[in-house]
Amino acid sequence: MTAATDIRGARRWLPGGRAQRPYLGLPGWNTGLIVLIVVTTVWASMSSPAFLHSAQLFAAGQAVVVTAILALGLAMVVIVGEIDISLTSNLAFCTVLAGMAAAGGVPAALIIPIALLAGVLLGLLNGVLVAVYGMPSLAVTLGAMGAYQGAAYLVGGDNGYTQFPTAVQELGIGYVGPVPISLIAFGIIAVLFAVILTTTTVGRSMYVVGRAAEVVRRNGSSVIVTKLCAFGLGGLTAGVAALVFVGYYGSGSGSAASDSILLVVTAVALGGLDIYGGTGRISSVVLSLILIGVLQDGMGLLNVDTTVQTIVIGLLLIVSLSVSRLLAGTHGPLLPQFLRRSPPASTSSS
Amino acid sequence: MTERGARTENDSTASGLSRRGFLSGSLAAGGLALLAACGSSGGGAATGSGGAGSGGSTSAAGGSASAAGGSSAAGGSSAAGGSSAAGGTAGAGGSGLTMVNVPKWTTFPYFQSCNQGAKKACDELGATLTYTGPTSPDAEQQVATLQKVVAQHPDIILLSAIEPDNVAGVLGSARKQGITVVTYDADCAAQARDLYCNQLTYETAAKAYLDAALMDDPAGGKVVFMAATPTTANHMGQIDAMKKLISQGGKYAVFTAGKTYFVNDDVTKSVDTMTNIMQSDPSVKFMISGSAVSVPAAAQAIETAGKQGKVFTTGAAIPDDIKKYLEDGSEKAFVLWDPQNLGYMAAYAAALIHQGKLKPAPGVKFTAGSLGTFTVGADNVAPYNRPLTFTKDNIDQYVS
Repeated sequence: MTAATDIRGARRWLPGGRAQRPYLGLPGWNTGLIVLIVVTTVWASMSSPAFLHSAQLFAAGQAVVVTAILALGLAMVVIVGEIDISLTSNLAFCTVLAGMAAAGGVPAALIIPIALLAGVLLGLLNGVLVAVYGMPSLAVTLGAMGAYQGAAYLVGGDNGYTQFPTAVQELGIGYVGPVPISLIAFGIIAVLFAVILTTTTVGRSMYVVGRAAEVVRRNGSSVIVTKLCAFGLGGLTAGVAALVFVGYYGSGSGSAASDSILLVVTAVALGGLDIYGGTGRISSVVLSLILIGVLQDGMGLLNVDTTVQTIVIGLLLIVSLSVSRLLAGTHGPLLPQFLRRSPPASTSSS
Repeated sequence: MTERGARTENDSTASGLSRRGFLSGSLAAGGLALLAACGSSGGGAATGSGGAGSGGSTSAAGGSASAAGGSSAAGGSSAAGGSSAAGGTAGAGGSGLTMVNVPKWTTFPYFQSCNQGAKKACDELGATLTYTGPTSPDAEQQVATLQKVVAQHPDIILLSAIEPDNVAGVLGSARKQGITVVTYDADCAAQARDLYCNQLTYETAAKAYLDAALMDDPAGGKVVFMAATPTTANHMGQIDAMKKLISQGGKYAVFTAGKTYFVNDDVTKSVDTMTNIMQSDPSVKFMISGSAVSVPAAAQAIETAGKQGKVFTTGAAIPDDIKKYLEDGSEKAFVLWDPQNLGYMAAYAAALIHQGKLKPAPGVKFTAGSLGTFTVGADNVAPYNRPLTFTKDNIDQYVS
């Protein structure tokens, strides 16, 4: 099978039996998120006089941007129908690597590409195991989650590193005018990923691969390349997030961001991406991140305990997924995640 | 020291209220109702920023106008006046200072006890106190909490730092806004705070711990240590001091110092590590730790392994956690300080600093209300330094 027939073969299983434009997620999902953002913003500004100030909002954004950047990377992986829960461990390893490079006197101009490259390579390593050897991504990245974190502890010791060049830390704590550089970096990645998904061949094939993975699983080279791209881009976000992390927290160690993966997955799911792949827009993920950010910021300013915050975010996720399920019931065949639950072979294998 | 009894009452003031608001709200009506509910309950829990009076804090409010940047545009610089409505629910008389206490994690009885002491000082000073922080010892969550606290522009932040360097950035911006930062229990990077109230100097703690170990078994033996992380200043400082005492000989020459294990103030990790230590190295006789989580966990592991009387643990522990080991004779002594007094001292010192009545510098003395006089030492560390050793004979007066 050639690369091209892989994709064409996949397309035959799409609704309507022909190539379609990338599925953009549930109709009205973004509108729903925007409504919720408006509601939470009004609530937060009414309940805390400290909320609605640009400096406060930027600082709050800065506090969640590590999670946000990782969510963009996870979104790419989820769109091809896989998952990478090792992103936070990948980040931890990159922070330690950056710390070690800094301790060894490597200049800032090199530390940044080193961290980014390490992130991409660790992402690709997962990608190879998943795409080339056909191993389940949940299992592979669960293993990688432990392995990368372990490697970070091995390299950095329990202590990790706390000394970084100022130029590297700028990404986490620097400002351009009133805007944190880390938020600008997030914006650039979001735009870049959105452009890749909507305008490039690779981006379009990500949706195709994600929607019809069962059909095209058999080692088509284009499928492998597509999946590797997704995992590589995911790893790239881990590298960027690692640099932001060492700037913002001033430390790099195996424990870096270790509890963040659930929030990353939540942000992607709340963004309406089908966890089975093939759908979703970066804009939805950005909106879901804004919603989570506003909600957390508002609760934080009211000194609500972090456990309660977790419960609220969890409930929000469950409620939103229930709503999507209800919508799915009314829209029926329009919704791929439920289509894809029934094996393509039994529905239309003629 | 009956922390436990009063803890529930304390807990229900701030976070308890909002928790109930959240749960009932979310269960009743989902998203929107939930938001409305915490709008009302949260308002009471929040400190707002200025509180009522601005007497003692005028200079800070003025100073923060430039540093606060964007927030000054909408009345941030007049924090004291602008938000008096929000702070009105709390009893703000006297100094009108607003104080926020951020522990390593809020649910640990030790920190709730510290907070009670801080509350007592605040009541005497006419200040308002809010207790908030992560619910588990997570360094990044603590930074996130501090960021929210700083945005509320309190006058004073009391902090027990999980990671000394992580919090330095956000505390730096707090101090630029004129917020007084006093650490207690666990210090942060020295340049990021005004004063650190150290429960026991490392030497005092080390001596008290080793003396307790001598009570367990005067014959001494090999000692291993547990700390939260390699950067936990108080745990590591105490361990270094113990190693120094042991190497100096004298009555502590019966001990030999072994490895230090890092268990993150986590019960499960402490139990597992202790179990492994006993299996892998039969020569280990004592486990000593400044973590009040790890010590009772190790005692539990010793009991599970049936090694009572052969292996011992001591160090910092909360009375309720170790009472049974003292009573059944498997352990002889544990050490603590009165956490209420530590919280009281930190809150009192912070208020004095914020009002300009105390300028921390080595050698400066100050009087913390009813607790008496303390002296600031090098690096602006003020030791509380009154250890309490619990034994079978006195434990009953400290448990609830």
